[in-house]
Amino acid sequence: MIAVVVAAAATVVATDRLLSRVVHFNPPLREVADAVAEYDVSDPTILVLGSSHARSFETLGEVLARRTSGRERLLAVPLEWGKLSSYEWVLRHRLEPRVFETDASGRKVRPGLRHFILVTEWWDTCPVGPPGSDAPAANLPARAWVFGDFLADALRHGLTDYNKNYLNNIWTRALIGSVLVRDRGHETIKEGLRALVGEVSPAVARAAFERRVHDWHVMLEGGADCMGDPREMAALEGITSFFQALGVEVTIVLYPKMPVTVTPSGTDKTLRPFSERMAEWAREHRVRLLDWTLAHPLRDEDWEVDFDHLTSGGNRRLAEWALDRDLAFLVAPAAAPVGSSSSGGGP
Amino acid sequence: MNPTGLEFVFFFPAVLLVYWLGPRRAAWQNAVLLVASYLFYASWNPSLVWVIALATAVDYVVGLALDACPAGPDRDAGGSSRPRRRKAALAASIAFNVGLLGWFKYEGFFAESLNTVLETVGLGAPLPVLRLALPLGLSYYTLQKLAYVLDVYYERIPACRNPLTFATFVAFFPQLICGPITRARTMVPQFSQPRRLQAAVLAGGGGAFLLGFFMKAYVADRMGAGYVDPVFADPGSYGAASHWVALFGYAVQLFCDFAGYSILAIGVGRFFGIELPVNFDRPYLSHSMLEFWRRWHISLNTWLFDYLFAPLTTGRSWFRGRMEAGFLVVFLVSGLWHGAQWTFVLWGLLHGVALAVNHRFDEFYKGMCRKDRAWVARRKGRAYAAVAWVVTQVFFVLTLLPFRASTMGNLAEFCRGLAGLGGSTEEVHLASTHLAFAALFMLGYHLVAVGRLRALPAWFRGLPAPVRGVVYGLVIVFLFIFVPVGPSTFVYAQF
Repeated sequence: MIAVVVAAAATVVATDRLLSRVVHFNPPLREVADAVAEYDVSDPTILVLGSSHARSFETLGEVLARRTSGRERLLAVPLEWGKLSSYEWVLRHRLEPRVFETDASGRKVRPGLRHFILVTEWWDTCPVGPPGSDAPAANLPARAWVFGDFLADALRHGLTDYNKNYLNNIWTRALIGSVLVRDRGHETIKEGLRALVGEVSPAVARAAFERRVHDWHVMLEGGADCMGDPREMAALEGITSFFQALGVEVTIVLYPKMPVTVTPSGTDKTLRPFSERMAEWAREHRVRLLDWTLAHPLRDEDWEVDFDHLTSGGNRRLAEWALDRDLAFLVAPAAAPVGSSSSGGGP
Repeated sequence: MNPTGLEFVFFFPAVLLVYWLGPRRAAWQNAVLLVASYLFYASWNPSLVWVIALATAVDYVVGLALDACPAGPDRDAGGSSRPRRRKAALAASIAFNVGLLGWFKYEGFFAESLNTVLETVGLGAPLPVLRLALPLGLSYYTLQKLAYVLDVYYERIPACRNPLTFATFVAFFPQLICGPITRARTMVPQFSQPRRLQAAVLAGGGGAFLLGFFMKAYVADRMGAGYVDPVFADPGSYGAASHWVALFGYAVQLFCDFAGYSILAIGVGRFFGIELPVNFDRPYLSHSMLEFWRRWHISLNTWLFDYLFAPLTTGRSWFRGRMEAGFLVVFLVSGLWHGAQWTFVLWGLLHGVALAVNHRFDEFYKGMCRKDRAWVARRKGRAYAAVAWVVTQVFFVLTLLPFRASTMGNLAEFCRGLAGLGGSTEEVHLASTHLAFAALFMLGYHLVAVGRLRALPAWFRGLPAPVRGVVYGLVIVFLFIFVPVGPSTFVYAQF
């Protein structure tokens, strides 16, 4: 019995190691839990909240720290898959207790916060489910919950497909070194093995590329049908008003799009109306808006193969460019004073 | 909670550890199993835990009540009629169990059907349709408890006096979702004794768990998601070939889903030192419908034949000796048990008729054999076996149409598509390695019970332990890579 179990376990581990030579996974990415752990031991001057795109601000934070000799400390909180209502949940449940944490004498433990940057795009303003529904976003249990949140939900509803996302995340993070575990849902191993058996022909690779570009075009053009959901916009208001009430300057960044994924139709239907709507919203709410959707220094090569996230080179280029221009106020010694509200307006 | 879901990876080892690290006493082991079973139950719907708790309490008390007044002498010292008290206790249990099942499972069906009739005659639709959530495993443990009460009533077994043992027997979590429907006479003695760790039993449990997991999570789920569900959901969008693939694919999916779960449950049970009964015996090898139903969902069919068919056809009612009428009743009940829909009633009717015809044909053939022994030789011949096999399997597969169709309308639309009258020429992706692999698996799984291949499982078990371990390890790697991601539901959990 023991010999069977040992041999089976050894086979699984050995195969896993063998497969790790065939397929490549990026190192584990920064998640909400990582950011919160960092928040616990630091006093950031700039807080960035957003989807996976907020990870670009890790690089920006490094460049900023170098340029200001460590005076400015940026903390990026990336919540995979986005949605403004999910950001608000993270703010209320994970960040707010730390923002207000006081010591024994009643003074704030972290008094340094002066800037808040929200990294977003049209996708974040679309509802999770059909318009009007209050379907919860699965990225919360998957990426932002702690055990107490899971337990409370499970006691109320039982184990559901929704709260099982928490368990799935625990499992994946616990076995992050295993190729077999990380491959679940990605099919990278199958692609890797296929490539090993016979190299993918240029025609097939081209077809796959064009299929992916087409999917992005369709998604972008479909944004017009869902963006600006009242619940998501209310969350946007909740987030900004929270920081404005604290006297923290709020900046909204519309994240760059990969040029090849943008069509004239997508621009006309989704991107431009969204930018205009956000510009108007920013003016009304006295928030700085930086619209990098199409105005950025990046080329297609600066994006990963998912067409959504920047390569490390792309992140660095974006950071240098932004700190030279739109975010130069973060570098300047006379940073915007606490409590001031910037006028709105895009680049 | 789903035994093929990730949550089970956390739950199962934790329960096993507490179970085996604690004292080797039946009370401790049953307490662990009962708590685990109620947690498992609550994981589906915490607000319905009271249903199984109440149902268990009622039949535990009924069992004790039956035991308190044995059927021996007609009257006790006080002159009260014992048989009458026994009958009253039995009637109370049957009314409670059937009532509970009827309320949760059939309220909507009967209310809707009656409303339709009343609307037709102009009386409106006065009955409310509540659409209640069906408590997990209700269809299964209700039959299990009814069998217990009937066995105690007929004094085939004594009543279980230990409430912990009885509650564990009712709620044992591996069988809770979709059986097997166990009997008290084989299970209560197991739960009454302390269980000991046995390497061979654990090894058998591991092998069964892996096989069941493979059948459910790989074969059934791949088949369902890739070939069956899309076509049944929208028959008008697919051509005839896809309809036939979906129909035969459903036969594979249903078998691997349900038999896979049963095997998996047996495997999990063995990890706790509990042996659950076999529920499937390679039904696709059957040469008649009578044989088929002795091999498919054995625990349900033996229940129906023991507690419904036998009393009907051997009792004092009109059904006495009328086997065909008995088959019809049994399968109408079986159809309704599977679901509160007219499609299931139709399915039950078809199988009831098929068994009646099968029985008549057997009687007729026996008569032929008595007249001329050549008919005996013919029956043993390959040609007879081949024809009988084809007729049996094709009949079963075709009758899956009402079983799988969501409504009568869906059934009609699917049948049009099967006949090539659907209007669409679009087909599902047939050139798939998964489809070929599923077909090969089904073939292999059934063939290892035939001829020389029968020795194959024993040969595998005789291989050196490390070799078997490597094979198991490779199967686990295969499952990691190829089991589809997504919520997976057992088909039979909904019945």
